[in-house]
Amino acid sequence: MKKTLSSLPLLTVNAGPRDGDKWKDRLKEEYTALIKYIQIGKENDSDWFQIESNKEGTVWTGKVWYIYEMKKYEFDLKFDIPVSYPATAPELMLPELDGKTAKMYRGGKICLTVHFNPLWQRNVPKFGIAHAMALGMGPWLAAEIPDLVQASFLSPMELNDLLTGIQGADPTCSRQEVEGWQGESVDVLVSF
Amino acid sequence: MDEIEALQALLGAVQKQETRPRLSERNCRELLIKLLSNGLVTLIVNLDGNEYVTPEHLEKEIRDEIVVNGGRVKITDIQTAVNVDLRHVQDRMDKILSEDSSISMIDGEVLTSGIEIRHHDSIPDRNSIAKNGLHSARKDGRGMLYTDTYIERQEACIRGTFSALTRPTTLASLQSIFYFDESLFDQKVESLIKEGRIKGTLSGKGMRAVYTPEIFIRSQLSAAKNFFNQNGYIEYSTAEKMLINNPKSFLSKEFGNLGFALRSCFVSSRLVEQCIEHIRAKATADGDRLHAALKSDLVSPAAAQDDDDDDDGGRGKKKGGKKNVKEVEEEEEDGKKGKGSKRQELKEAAAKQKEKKGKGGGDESSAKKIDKGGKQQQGSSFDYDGETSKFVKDFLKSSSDDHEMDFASEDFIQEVVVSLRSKAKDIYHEIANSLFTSSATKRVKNDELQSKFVLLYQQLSLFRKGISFFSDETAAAMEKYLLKTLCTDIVNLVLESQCKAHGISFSATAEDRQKLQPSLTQEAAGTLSSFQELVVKILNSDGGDEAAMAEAAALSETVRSLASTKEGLSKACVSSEK
Repeated sequence: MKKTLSSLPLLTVNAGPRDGDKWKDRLKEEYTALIKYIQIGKENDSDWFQIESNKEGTVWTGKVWYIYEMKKYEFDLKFDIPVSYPATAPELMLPELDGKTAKMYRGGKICLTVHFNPLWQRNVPKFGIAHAMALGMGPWLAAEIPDLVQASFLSPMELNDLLTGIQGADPTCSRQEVEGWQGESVDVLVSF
Repeated sequence: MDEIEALQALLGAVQKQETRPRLSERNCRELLIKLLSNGLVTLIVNLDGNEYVTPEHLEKEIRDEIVVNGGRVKITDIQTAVNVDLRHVQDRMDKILSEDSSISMIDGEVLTSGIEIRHHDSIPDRNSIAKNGLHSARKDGRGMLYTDTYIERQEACIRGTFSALTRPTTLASLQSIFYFDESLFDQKVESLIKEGRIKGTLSGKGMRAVYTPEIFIRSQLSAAKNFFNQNGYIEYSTAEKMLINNPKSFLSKEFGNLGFALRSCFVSSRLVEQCIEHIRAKATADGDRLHAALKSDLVSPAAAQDDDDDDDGGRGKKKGGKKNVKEVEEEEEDGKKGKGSKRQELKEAAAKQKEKKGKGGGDESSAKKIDKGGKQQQGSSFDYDGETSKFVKDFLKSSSDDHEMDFASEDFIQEVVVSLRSKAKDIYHEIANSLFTSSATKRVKNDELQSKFVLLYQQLSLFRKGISFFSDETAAAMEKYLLKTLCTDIVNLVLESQCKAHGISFSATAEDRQKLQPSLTQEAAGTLSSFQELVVKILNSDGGDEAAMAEAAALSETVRSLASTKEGLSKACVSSEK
């Protein structure tokens, strides 16, 4: 984790969505950092989220997943860039988990107040979305998902079992195919 | 904006890339363990525990190592190079050796056939190898190669060391000091002994063997012989000190016909003869010798003393061989020598002595009589032997009348005389001794008396001097007092000493003095009068003043009166005796 973090580039531009061109520069840096993070994840077999933004880079959506006891748990991710960004950290949301755990604000905003926010404050403007994912979302999932699973609030992704089954039976079946299928039906498959 | 779109597209593309599947090290290891436990692969784990090698590859690596090291390498070096347990390396090496005859292993070193020849070139003494060729190098059973020079050098060292040895030594101790080549050492020693180059014997096997040099055996034997010849015997403990093992058997082997092995020593037959001779001589001459002693004893005590000394000397001389003599006698008891007749003699003599002792009281009295007679006749030419034997004869005759026995044989009388003489001599010595000691004590007592007297006299003169300063009346009274005290003390002192000399009890009172006078003999009176004269003389010489003279006169008066009384009394005593 530390190694991953140190390999992520730190951001330099201190600009929010209302800062015009400067925000574009900032956005570029955000993307570069995210691309780097994803690449590292892919190389180390520790890939754990997908993300994309709108054209302006103010609204971000994607998916996060967590594998616990050989089962994959996957959730939608959604957040907006606050007006005061980067002085204020983005409020990462997992809407599906709203009401399932105490470590969460209304609307599925995960609770990062205690650990992550002070860290962020200290690192304005060096930290960006990639850092928020690595230092905020990652640890939150690692801490919360096992609890939720044990409390039987979550059921694993059946598709994951299916996927392993397909791959085991027919190694030629490419992952893309499965994933493509998975991507379409993910809402249905994740049941609560 | 384009750039951002490009980046967005890139992000999307990156996200769509396939994740490279990755196994953690732990997983890999678990899989490997599973494979190994199922016997699907055979692997050797290296010493770090993070590498595996198949046995086939290990063998290849070992071969490579041998080649890399120029065909000669220690197996431990191979082990460090391939970094697996030595056991695996050895297993593989065994396989290689069994398959490949060109490779051999000597003392943990792997050699290829090519290297053995090259090996000789690396020996420092290259010239000798070249001269002698390869034939000079020998190969022993274990595949070791030696050059002749090496062997010769070892042999020379061994030869030198063993030639210098003078006492038994174990091979191991020599090896530990001189670091001989162990593989050559014992063989060389054996061969040198066989050749006769080193003289000695080797007992035991291998490095534990003990080498005993011949010179040691010889010197041991000669030492034992010398001792034996000089002393006529040799004790086993002495022999053991000479490092002779099992001395009894050794000595009987070496001097078998020269003597006898006894319990604790080996005695020469010469010494035995001597002892026997001695006993015989003693037995026969005993009587004569004692006769002579008796005679000289009676003539003068000094001579007797000398004779005693002689006796003691003789006894001292005999003491050394005493044990041997005893043992010789034992030997004789065994009946090895036909000395029965002599023994008979000894027994008879002993029996006679016993008989004589049985007479008890009679002997005692006769001893006293002889003693008395001897003393009375001292200084005159007197036939003591004849007189004594005559006396004994008479006595025996008178007693035999009572007991109806015949003791008249000359021999028997002789024996009795001898026995009585020894007793008489003892008594004589006792008396002489007591006389000597009493005279010594007397002298000490006289000295004491003298010092006391001088002290008293000094006091007396001092007081008299003092008195002379007083008026006449007082002086006269004081002088009287002085007479009563100090002068009386002096007289008492003299009297007491005299009384002691004559064995009379004395207490210092006037009545006692009076009583005492008759019991003092004439001799004592003489002493007293002479004492009186002496006192007068001292007083006269003391300066001659009147007072002193008067005092001396008073003192002499006292003494004289004392003496005269005594004289009279003693005269009376004598007459009454008459």
